[in-house]
Amino acid sequence: MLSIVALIGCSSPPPVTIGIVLNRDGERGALLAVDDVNAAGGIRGRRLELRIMKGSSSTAARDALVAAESLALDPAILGVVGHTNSAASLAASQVYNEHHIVQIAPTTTAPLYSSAGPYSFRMVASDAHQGAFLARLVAADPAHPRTAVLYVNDDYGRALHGTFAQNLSLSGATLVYEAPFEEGVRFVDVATMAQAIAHTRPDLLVWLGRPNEFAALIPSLRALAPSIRVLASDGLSNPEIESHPAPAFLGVTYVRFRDLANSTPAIRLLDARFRDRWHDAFTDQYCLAYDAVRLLAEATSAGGSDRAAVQRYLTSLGRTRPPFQGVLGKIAFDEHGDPNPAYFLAQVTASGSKATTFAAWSGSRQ
Amino acid sequence: MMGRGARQRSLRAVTLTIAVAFAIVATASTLFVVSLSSSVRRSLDRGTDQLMIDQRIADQIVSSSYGQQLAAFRYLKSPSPTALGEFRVLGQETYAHIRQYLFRPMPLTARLKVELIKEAHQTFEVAAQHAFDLSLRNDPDDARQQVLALTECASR
Repeated sequence: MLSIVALIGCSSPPPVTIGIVLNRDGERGALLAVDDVNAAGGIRGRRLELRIMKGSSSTAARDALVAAESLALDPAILGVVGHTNSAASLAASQVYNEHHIVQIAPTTTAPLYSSAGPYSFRMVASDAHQGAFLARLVAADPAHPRTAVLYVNDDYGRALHGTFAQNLSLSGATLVYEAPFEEGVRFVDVATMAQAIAHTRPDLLVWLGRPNEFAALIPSLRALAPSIRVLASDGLSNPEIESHPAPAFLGVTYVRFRDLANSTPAIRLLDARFRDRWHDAFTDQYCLAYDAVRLLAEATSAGGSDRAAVQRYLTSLGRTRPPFQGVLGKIAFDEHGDPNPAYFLAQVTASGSKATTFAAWSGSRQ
Repeated sequence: MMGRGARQRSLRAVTLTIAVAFAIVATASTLFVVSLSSSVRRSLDRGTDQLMIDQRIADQIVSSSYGQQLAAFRYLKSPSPTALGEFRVLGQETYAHIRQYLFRPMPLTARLKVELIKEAHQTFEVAAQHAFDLSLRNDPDDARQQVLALTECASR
């Protein structure tokens, strides 16, 4: 009997488990955060573990809903970091809110996510701000460029296009061409799209989408409009562009969530550890996923180890508690689960992405 | 031995106790039935309200998406900034209604179906834009092909 009691007494407490629905880069950030939390003693003596949903990083709602349902129904999961993009995060958010489980979306920017529910949080600001930021850059361009805009027709590109076009029209500028596109196999007739854009003689293309379709379109477009400049949203960011970009991306200016010109010692250290472990480019997605997992670990440690306590902790940040100190800066949320906006511009060069001379933009919500 | 009067008193007491107990049970049962029926009615009212709101949003989705399809065909027949503007406004309305619907509680299978409708709407809009580009390029055969694809996409 004594030995049984001793065995029970010595058995390790159950781990704290977080669900992860991210792309490869985000998963790497999450894994490094778990190593750091466990190396520092875990969460009140409990180990932190991840349940990674593999292959769930697409924009299709089906994948997002299946992953969300699986995580939400697992009582061991205390919170979720994901999903990879706005369409997937928005689809999954209703499942998480129905099951009262916190979702922290590292790179979700669709404005509608602010209305998803009390269990939906994110690490980057709503595109209501990024649209205004991009419009301000175009409007302030002394060359008054004839501007065309292409946007991915999902929850991300659609909303970003709306806020960008609205803010640009408020400044008195007009767009010479605007069109949606679809990702993946349906992005086919590149020649027609390039001809339609070139027909309007634009000086500037504003790209509100991800890199694969851009790489497919831009050679045809540059053949017809060689001097066209490109300004892109945060969706363009990925490890290849930030380390060894294809020629199609050279010279493109795009939005980042991290100030490349003023890296803090903490970011430089994380960058070095990342490159040492994975021999790959250090991206914003990686940093944001790292901070999101550490934040959930702290919510479990300081707030309590049930789903409602985690939600209460996150809501209290910046109100009844001080903000959480992440690697990218202080983290606190407004009543919609949104942080303050902060945007920086980078330019793609042959050796990776570099900070531009443009002014960065950050500040409180409008 | 118990006297006749004592037996009568005891019988009266038992009868009274049974009557009181019956009255309590009957009152409680009545209250329970009233409360249950009122709760069922409230729940039924809530369900009906929910259904009516769902139906109203669904009607708006159908109405604005049909309107957008008509606007697309009008633009292809006679391109103008007004027709293009109408196409875009109706597209935004359709999207907003679909998103409004998706923010309502529903089973996972229903949610998936509505998400697929949202994705089909996105596909339709891109196909329409492609047809617009082709028609401006004065490529009637391609544009006609695209209109056929558009019709097929819209019928989904």
